[in-house]
Amino acid sequence: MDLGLGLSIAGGALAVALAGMGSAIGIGIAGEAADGLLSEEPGKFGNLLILVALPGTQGIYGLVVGFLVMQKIGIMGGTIPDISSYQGLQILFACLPIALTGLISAIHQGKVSASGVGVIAKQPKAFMQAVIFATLVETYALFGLVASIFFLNGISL
Amino acid sequence: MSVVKMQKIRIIGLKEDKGALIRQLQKAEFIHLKSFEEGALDDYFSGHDPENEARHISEKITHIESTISFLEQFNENKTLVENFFPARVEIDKQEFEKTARNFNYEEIIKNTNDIKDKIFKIDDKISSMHNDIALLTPFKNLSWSPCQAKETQNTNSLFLKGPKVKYISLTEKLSEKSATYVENISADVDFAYLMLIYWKENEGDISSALKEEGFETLNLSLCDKLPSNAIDSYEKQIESLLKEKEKLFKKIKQMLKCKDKLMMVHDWYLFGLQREKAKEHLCESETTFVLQGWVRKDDMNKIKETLQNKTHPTYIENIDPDEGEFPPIEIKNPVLVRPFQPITKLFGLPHFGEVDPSGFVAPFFFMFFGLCLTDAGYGIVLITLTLLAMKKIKVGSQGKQFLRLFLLGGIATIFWGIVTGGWFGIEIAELPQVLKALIIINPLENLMKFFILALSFGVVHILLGIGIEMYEQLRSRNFADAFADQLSYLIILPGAILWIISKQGFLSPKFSQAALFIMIAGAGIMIVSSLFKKGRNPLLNVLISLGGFIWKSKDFVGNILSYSRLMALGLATSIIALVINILAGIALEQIPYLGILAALLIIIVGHLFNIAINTLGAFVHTTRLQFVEFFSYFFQGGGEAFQPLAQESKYIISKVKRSAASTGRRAEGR
Repeated sequence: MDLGLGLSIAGGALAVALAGMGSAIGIGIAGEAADGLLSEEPGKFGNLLILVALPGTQGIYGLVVGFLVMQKIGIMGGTIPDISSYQGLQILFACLPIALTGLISAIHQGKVSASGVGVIAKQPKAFMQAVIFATLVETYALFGLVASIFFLNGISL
Repeated sequence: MSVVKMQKIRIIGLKEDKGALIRQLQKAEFIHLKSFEEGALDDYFSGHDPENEARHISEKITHIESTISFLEQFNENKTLVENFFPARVEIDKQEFEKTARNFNYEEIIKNTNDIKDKIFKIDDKISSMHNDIALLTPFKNLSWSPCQAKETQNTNSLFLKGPKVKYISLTEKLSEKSATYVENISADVDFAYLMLIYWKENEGDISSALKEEGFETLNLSLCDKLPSNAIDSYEKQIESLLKEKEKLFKKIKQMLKCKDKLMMVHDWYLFGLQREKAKEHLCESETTFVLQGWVRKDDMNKIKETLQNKTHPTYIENIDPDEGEFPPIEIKNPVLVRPFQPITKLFGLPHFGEVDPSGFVAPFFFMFFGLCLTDAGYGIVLITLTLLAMKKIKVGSQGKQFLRLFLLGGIATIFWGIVTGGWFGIEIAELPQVLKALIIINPLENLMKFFILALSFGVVHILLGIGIEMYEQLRSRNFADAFADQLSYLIILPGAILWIISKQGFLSPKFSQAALFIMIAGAGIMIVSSLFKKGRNPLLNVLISLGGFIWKSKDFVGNILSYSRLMALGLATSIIALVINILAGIALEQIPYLGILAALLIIIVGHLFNIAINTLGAFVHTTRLQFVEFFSYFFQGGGEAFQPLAQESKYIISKVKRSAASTGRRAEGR
């Protein structure tokens, strides 16, 4: 029973941590590029902020799943149900889609956003288009989120 | 919901009226000018205007612009908002003209440049003094002035700087030569500072010894005072220079008051430049000029009225487009659809003959945006912030359309918030009874329902896309194609969905049989109508249509599943809102006394952050669904925008209310 709880927590923790790490790296990549342009053209701060913020959403999706796990295992208050080791493993695996897609997609989204910074340096009008390209990457984190939510929802304790 | 009809015209007028006519055309925003192809006109109109002032004016504009941006650096009253939306000047047209004509901007530019130069020189001086101070500081305890260390007939003296650790080895090397004098004047963490007197005959050995040990000579011969005194005087000078600089800064701040006027002059010349550029499109004879371009058909009467009530004669005629030339595109929609036009334009205007999709984008964008947020509280905040922005921020017409888009998005958010019971992330159990009664779907409990809702939107959206393509095919009389590649899909796809639903047990098994019939009927239509397709062997056409359908069916599944993002984004928003409230609750319980402040802070900052990041997400993902999933079925885009000769401003916003059509038009220019 204790192992089950531990595994569940590991799942939630991985979702939050891995997706969050991805976002941190992604924002780091985009932010560096944005700072470069900002030193030349401070007037573009608004546009740059949006590009830099884009890879931040994966961390939020990770947090969403982490929270769903917390709610499920009753750690946010209430009674903690008996969780068998198998159930714990189920919860752990249910968290993996968002954890992994979050980690990888945020990094790559950061790279696309960084290139987007290059785009608005040369073609300010193409800003929204650059944002849309970065969004294409995020789709897969969203699918990861959908899958994780459904898996978690389907596991009965 | 349509593309505006265009007419190509040619205007011929007298040369002496040229300036006035161009000015009128610019004000009225009538005509999208086109250059004449070579050989399109008789030799009669062979001349071009030799006195084009474009270069001259654009130089002026550059000067004014650089002055404005220089002054802008010193603007301390810049608000946070201006970082996002550069400030603009709102003014009515008459006042604008008066100011722009009479304002002595050249003086301002000259003064600014003078001040710029002065500041530059002061900075230069200060930095060279700082260098001198740095040079002299190690020698500040010297009791004589460095310039006294002069060359004599047989000796020379040097000031040296080198690594402290090499000091001993240097003195050893030097002591090998007779009669060299080394004095260690001072040292800091890394370096030792020395004075050296040596016989000139040893010069070669000495300099190689210095080189080996890494010592360099310092040139202090210009300092004719005690180093400490020199440093003092430099510091005093720097202080006074800084004061002078401060004074200059004050002057600049005074001049900042003229910034608005400079902006007006800038735009005044910008309009002039636009006219000059327009003149490059026309051709001239000795006494007349001719120009051609596209105008809106609806504007024809107005154009005739405007141009022909002048005392001088102008001749206007309708002409046919050149071979392979398509009219430029302008889209015009009812007020509620207009905020969604920028979304279409982001993708590209329809090419000639294509449908303007804005009207279809509007309802779906509206719904999707709301679904991604699903919190009535957030909708209210979004609307409030947008209304505030509309009042406080001066934006151009495109900015206004974007704000309206968010306003509509806020309304949709409220709708979905009410339907799903989202009110600032408050748990549904704790909502007042009235609000509970309005809930139709509770997303956290009825995950599947919410998911299916999102996908159903996708199905409708995609079927609509196919439907529009069918309409376009029918309109261009490709009946067989329309039936084989669109109508059949429109029958098979709903049939397939009905079949899946009934197989899953949501409907009675009877429906699954009906669904099979529907699908077979669709396939029948596909096969029969592809027999009538033009070109190629009919049987081959059938195979191509069937193969195409199978190939595309994986796209259908992928595209429809892509709409699950609506659910994911909506859930993410409401769960994070829930988390914020829980955190605030913990703060309230656990932190003594200040708990309520901390809780308030968490609630306000947290929810604002959640709104900001999810509004961004809602916007970009909703847009993506239009571009990637919806447009791919019927819309290519790539039309040339109708850009009439107009007053395209950079800094000013005209206070005069524009007509509805002209608002849409201006949005396109930028």
